Amino acid sequence: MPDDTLKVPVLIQLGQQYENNSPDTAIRLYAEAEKLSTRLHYDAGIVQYIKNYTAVLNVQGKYDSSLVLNNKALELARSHGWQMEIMKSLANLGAVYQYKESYTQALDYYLRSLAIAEKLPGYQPQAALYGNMCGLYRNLGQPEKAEIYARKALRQAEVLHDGYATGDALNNLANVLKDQGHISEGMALLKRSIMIGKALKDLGVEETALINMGDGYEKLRQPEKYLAVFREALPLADSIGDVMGRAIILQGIAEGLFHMKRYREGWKAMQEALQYARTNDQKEVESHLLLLLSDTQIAMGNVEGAEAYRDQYDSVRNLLVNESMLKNIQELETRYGVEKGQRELTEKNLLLEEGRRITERQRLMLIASILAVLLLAALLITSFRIYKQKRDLDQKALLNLEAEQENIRLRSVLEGETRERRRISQEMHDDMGSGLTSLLFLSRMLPGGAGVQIGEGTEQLIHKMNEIIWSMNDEQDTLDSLVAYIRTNTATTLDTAGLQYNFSIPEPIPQRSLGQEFRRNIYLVVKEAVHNVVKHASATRVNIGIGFENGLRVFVSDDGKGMNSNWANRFGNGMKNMQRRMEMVGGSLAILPDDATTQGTLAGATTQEGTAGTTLILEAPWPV
Amino acid sequence: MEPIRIAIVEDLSHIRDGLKFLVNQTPGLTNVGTFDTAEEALAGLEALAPDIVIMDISLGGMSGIECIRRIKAAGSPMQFMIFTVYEDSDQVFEALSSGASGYLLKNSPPEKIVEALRELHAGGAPMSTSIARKVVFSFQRPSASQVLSARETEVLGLLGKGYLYKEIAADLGLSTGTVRQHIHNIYDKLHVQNRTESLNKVFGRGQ
Repeated sequence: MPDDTLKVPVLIQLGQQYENNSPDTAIRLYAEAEKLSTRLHYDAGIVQYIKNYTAVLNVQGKYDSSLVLNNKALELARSHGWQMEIMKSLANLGAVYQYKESYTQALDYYLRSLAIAEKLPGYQPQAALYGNMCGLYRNLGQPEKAEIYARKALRQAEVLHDGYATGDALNNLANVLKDQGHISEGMALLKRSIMIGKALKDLGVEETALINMGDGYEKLRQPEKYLAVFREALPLADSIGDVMGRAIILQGIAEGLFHMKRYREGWKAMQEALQYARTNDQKEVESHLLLLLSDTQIAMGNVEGAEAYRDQYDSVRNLLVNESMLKNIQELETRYGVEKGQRELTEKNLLLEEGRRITERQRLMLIASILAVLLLAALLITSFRIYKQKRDLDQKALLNLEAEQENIRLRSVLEGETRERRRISQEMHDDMGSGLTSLLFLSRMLPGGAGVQIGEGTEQLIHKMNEIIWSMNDEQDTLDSLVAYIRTNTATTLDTAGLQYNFSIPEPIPQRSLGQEFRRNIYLVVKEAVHNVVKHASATRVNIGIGFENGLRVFVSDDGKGMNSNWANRFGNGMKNMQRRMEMVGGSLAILPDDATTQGTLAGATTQEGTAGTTLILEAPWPV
Repeated sequence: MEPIRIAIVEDLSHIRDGLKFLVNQTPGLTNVGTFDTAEEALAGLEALAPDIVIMDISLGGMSGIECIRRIKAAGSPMQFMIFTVYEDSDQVFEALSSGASGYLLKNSPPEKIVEALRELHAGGAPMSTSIARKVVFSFQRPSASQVLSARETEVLGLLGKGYLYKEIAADLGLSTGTVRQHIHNIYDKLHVQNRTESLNKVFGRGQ
């Protein structure tokens, strides 16, 4: 076929054939379409390419790339005034935001797309768009609006006699009804959807409907029914490779067995489901299963085991809450930006529409009908070539899959090892802790100075253990945690020694993640510095300041004896240690005013006014 | 004035005897009983009716936390002081959520132990920086059923930043005793919240 703009839609159509089974082939074909279109300056081809390629990107979870491309399509469509393409790009952008769970933005784009659709003469938005909006409103907790769009989608699908769309619309409407408590109505619709799915041999529709039926029976508290339904759905999920669906189904089966009090079977089912959820990063399912496992333990009378699972549940939920809190904050931030931009954009859109009365649409329709005829011929010619290439690609895909499986296996081994290491270290510390405490109490029963010395030494050891535990605890890996820890410990030391002290710490403390090594080293250097002031400086007042620009800076200044005579006495070996620690985190240590050996002053270092004594300054760049 | 009645639950004999000795030696405190497992404590504490129980968190067999949970669930006014090596562990937080009203570090010198017992009896409780942060988080969850007062939130915030009790007292214009009483009240709310959650969990998820 000669290189021509007509070849572009052909390549795209071929790609669509491969999208489900061999996405790599599809991508290759789309990429060819794009190259060709660019070469021929065929913008319509580029827009077509983008629409199809981003569909694959969405499935692969590459949302940001998808956004970039869809925005490009939007620009191109606007530059030519192609209303239909503008509308479709806006809808596609909405879909990507919906995948990313940025619901407010998704809604904004859908509404803009709908606004344009309503102005296009004789055009009806696809049922899929209505379906997406229904899902969105459900996520936003507005079931009444969700129902409106679900019914629109259903009407649309039935009018167009589109079986697939009807199945999807029935599933959506059933869910909305269930949300509002009309469970039996919802179930009736789901049964219809399952029949349509079976008739069309569309496993996706059937699987979704079955899962939702399971959920419905759960709400009606009929475990035998939902156990059966989920079991029916499981092989379907496997056939279509729906990971999230499989996790939800396994969870449902485990719950069913639990509620039917078949605890041993249920236990096995839960373990299988938990393994699957963890391997596939399905945190919601994982957390539900942990709770279920905890309840099973209670039912079997093992309270400690229940607690252990409850703890794991709490950790996973914390992770989820953190993720959603972050998302909520981002949502709020974008909402303000979005609302402002929305108004400006609608005005611009109106202007563009007025300026363009092009029969672009009719032209495309003409091309499309010519293509239909040529398509058949083209298919035959290219199918032979494609067949050979497909065989090569299949092999490559198989190797990729095997490598991926190996990765997953290694990852779970590693995670298991980390968990094991943490458990062993925890046990070691428990044993050491008990031993040291015994020693401490024994020493208190010894008469005389020796007992006191042993006691003090042991107290110090236990304190050091606590510091190690703190530094190894990755919950404390944040900057504000480090600052708080430094503050508490140095304040206690200074207070006990009877010195006056003052902290200058700017608020708010920035959100930062630090590593174990960084935290420990910084903390130990500051601790040593304060210790030295207490022991050698004969000071009355200490100021401690912390700064966060371009890295961490801590200064400790006292009003005691200056450095000149006491340099060696003050720090001695300790200084070497402190410098070594700062080097390990890529930072530096400086003392002002300095002695004969020039340390140089650090640019921008600030000290408190009026302190005659010494200031120690630590600086370290943020760890990566 | 009646001496404060103290019971001790600890499995290591040196420590148990050491604590018993300390308590009996100190005027104003008296030891009413010792146990070396949580099971025995569960059986015997009600009858003893101590004011404060020093409970080791790492016991063999049933855990100290479970013992506390059960006794507090029955509505007992006994106050539990957790005895622990680590200040920062999740276990301490778990114990505090389940009904303990304070904790003692195992490396505390004897004077501090006595001081802590007296404080608890007077209605005040201790809290470390990292525990403060966990508590904040616990009350911020959407499923949290309890609400902290403005004062309590202030105290908790400053504790989370690493302030000492006397600094917080100075900052807010209170005595350190009052600061610790606020902490005690916070723990009470934590207990209620935790119990409500357990009930919800067993009878059905609110998902």
